[in-house]
Amino acid sequence: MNIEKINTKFRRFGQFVVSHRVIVMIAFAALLTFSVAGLKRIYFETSFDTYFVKDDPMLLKTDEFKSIFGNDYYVAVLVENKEGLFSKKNLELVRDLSNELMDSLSYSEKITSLTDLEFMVGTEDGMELQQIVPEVILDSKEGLDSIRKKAYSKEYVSKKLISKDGTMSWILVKLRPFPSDSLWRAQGLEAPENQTGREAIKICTKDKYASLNPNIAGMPYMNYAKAQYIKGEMSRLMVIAIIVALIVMTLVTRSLRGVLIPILTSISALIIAMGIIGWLGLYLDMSTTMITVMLAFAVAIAYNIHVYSFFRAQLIKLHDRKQAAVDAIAETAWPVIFSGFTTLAAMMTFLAMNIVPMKAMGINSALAIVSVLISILVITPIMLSLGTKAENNKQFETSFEGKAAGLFDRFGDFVLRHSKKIIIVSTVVTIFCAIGVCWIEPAFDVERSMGRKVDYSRRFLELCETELGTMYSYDLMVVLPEEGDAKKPENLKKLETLEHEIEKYPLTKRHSSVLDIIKDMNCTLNNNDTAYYHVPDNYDAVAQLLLLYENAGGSESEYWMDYEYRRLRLQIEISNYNSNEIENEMGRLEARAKELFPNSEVSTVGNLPQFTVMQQYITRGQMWSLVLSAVIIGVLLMIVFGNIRLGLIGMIPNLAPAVFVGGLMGWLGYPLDMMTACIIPMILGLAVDDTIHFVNHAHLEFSRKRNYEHAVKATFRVTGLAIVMTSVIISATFLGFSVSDAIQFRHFGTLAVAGLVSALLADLFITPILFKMLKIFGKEDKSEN
Amino acid sequence: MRKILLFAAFALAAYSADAQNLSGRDIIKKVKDNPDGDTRYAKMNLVLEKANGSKRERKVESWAMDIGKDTKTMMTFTYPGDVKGTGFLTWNYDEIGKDDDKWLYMPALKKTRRISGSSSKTDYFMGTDFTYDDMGDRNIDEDTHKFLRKEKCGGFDCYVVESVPKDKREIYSKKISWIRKDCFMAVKVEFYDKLGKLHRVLNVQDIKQVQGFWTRGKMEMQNVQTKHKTIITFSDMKYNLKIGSDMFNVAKLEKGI
Repeated sequence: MNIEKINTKFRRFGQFVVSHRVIVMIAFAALLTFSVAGLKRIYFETSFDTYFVKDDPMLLKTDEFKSIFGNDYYVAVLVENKEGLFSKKNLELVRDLSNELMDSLSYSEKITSLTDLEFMVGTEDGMELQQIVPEVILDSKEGLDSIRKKAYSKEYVSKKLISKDGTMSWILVKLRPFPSDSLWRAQGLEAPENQTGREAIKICTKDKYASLNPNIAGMPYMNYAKAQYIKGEMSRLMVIAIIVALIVMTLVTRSLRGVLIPILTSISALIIAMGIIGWLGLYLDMSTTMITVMLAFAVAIAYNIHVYSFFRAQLIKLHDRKQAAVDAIAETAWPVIFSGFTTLAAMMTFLAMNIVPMKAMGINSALAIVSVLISILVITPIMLSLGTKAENNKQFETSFEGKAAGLFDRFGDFVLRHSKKIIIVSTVVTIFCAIGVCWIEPAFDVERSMGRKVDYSRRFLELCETELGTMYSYDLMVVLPEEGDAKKPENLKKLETLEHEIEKYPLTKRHSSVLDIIKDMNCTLNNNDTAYYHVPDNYDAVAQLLLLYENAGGSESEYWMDYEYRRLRLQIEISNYNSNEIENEMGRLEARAKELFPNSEVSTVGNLPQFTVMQQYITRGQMWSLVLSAVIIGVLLMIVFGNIRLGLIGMIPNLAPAVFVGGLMGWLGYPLDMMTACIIPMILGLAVDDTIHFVNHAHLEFSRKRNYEHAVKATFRVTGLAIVMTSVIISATFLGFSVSDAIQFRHFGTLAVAGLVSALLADLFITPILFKMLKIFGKEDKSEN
Repeated sequence: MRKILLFAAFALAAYSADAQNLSGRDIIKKVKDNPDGDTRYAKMNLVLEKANGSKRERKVESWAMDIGKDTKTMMTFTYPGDVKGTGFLTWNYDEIGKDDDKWLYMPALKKTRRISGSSSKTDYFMGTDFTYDDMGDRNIDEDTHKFLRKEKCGGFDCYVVESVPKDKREIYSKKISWIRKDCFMAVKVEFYDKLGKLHRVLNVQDIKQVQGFWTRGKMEMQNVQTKHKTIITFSDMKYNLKIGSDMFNVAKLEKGI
């Protein structure tokens, strides 16, 4: 690859841009305007279901499950009053809140609460569908005691609904199926899940209900609360990043122009990228968008520094702005573009992950990087060329850059003199980290990803720890061979056996199935005699009990049994989360169900199986992404250096931060999640930039004197400051994450900074040593020395 | 132009006359008072269909008798086999606020159970998309009726009437009915939920005269929000059968018809 030729082309490009500033700026402004219009079309996904690709078996299974048993998302509100809920005022409030949730949640289908319940009571000649709380609540001890007595009269009902001391109770809103994405998007409506979460918060935070301390749970609320939190956090992190970038750039450039240009380029690039995403209707979700935005911001500033450093040095020498700007583009455009493409290639490896947000992040980040490159190639030379011809008469040697160059020259000397020690230390650190990599484990739960410092997450975790609270749930679906099989007493009794067995599983807190209804009906039919709280032995009796239930107004049986009476559903709620244990429990349950129902299809569905599959995808995807990014970057290095050996050697300092980050995750117990999974490929993409700048310049210097020591020192002198500064800037941008309240963000910030710093150290210490030891550009010319 | 104005004036006069002559309540009363004999019999085929296409089918034979403004109905399930012989007896009272009486006889358990009370606000008929009110036992003064307009629906000239329930606890906020002018039978009814969004739509087809009585042949109610629907098909309809009120008691329910 002839760098001189490439540079000549970029020189021509730079000259064109500088001499046609007005036209180029108008064209760029038009692109920006077009992009701003696209911003309005952006929508953020919040649903966990959207994480799966279209034909993913888990998604198909979940969709099938939903089409049979309805929407498995719900809104649950735990109401609590320390003085007890069994007072006229509190019961009326519970009723009002229940009614408001039922009437005002756009997707509500059915409500279950202390004041709104399918409560069958056996009477002398039949059965009565009653309410626990009567229409008119008597404010007398007798009246309230009778309500309390009724509420606790069926243990199997009360243990799911009311706490033993009567201070807490659930209001559960079952939601009707959400319309398909294409439908609400076409109508320009809010995502149904988002809407449900927002409406639930609006209702529950009304002053009127404050004495009930409503604590909301359920996926729509959790996802909405998370999106809101991330939105706030993203703004906060962006502000921090801009402030940090301003400080660092002021220190480095000591010029208003040097500060303004990178900010302007990064903002323009983000608008263009997001605009295109909007126009193309690409997938966006909050967590991964944060990474895309911060990455684009960081690389925009970093790339600008390379251009600006060269520009400044030329300006000091030439005292001609336009010429210096053209020179800067001519000399730095290619390494900047190439750096951009390596980062882009690394991010595109996320396409290998079978997870929609990760794929989207790959595409969106790639778009953002391309936008950054366009902005830099257009805005930077124009802005740099504006103004008077000569700036000052400062000499390079006495300038900050000149002093830094001297410092780096001595540093290069130090590295070459201590090469053995450096290699030993690096090897030990790498081995130590490689061991840590083995301990990495994935996690998606709220406790480990968000933690208790985040308000919504803390409230949810506190709710989980209460007597009534459960954290997550999963369902077992049994598809029996023939229609009507689900009504067979022998099958129902097998289901009961499963229920008894899962009660012994450490994480099980509660379970629900059609057995609750059948046994309750049998009991009610026999004058509430608890001796009849069992499944009848006769098939027709089961069918007729279910018919009686429906005719009495019961509507919940269809949540647990399908229309063809072929499918049985068993829901298990768990008290706390442990990824290994839950995977084990679900596996055990499936195996046992297969044993009991040998000719049936058995599967687990719901949030927890989705979490487990997602964890498997992310672990596998992370490996693929790592391998692919290493291979792609390796190949790119080989192409750019025109040498396979050089490309492979160039990979060594870049793989080191990957091992370092992985080791850190393992040793510090940072789990693999949607954000931390991005780090290693991202670091690989970023770290290689410095290697490219270093090797590129070293090659040039070596060709001049054919002496490695000279080449290393000269390279340090010219590119050292820019390499350090870009790493500092990018690290500083990501540093904001490490002070976040959310664990996931803190981990991301810490690991990103650790990765970038380790990449910098590898480039500063290892690259020059490999350079000299392996004589990568060929033999030295002793005569030159 | 003059002709157009004349025509418009004529149309307006006709519209006003119609609207003045028949108020919304009048129209609904005519629907309610449509003659349907003192006794009647029908075979009903009920199909419940979910959005995913899965179906549940039930067949019943139904006898009904009017006693004053009240109606007594006896239904016997004939399909599927596991509920065959199950009988359902209802006494529906016209009086506002008076709950219906219902009994169910289960042959497998040899038990009859009286069902009383109702499940909160959703009192649906046998797990279908129809409420008991939709099946025809709603007092006309439980709603405020307003004549809206006249328009064609399903090829028939219809009155369009809006009915708003007086009791705010009802499951719908309003319903709009398209009533055929020629026979005062509803061909379409739209039910709106509490937020004013369309909730269910009833379409009535195959309206014909049997023994001189206007009779519905098929009713399809779809919940447009959940996409669940119920189709009830009537066959073998007979009116003014010679049956006595002793057919509509618990003893008969247990004995079978």
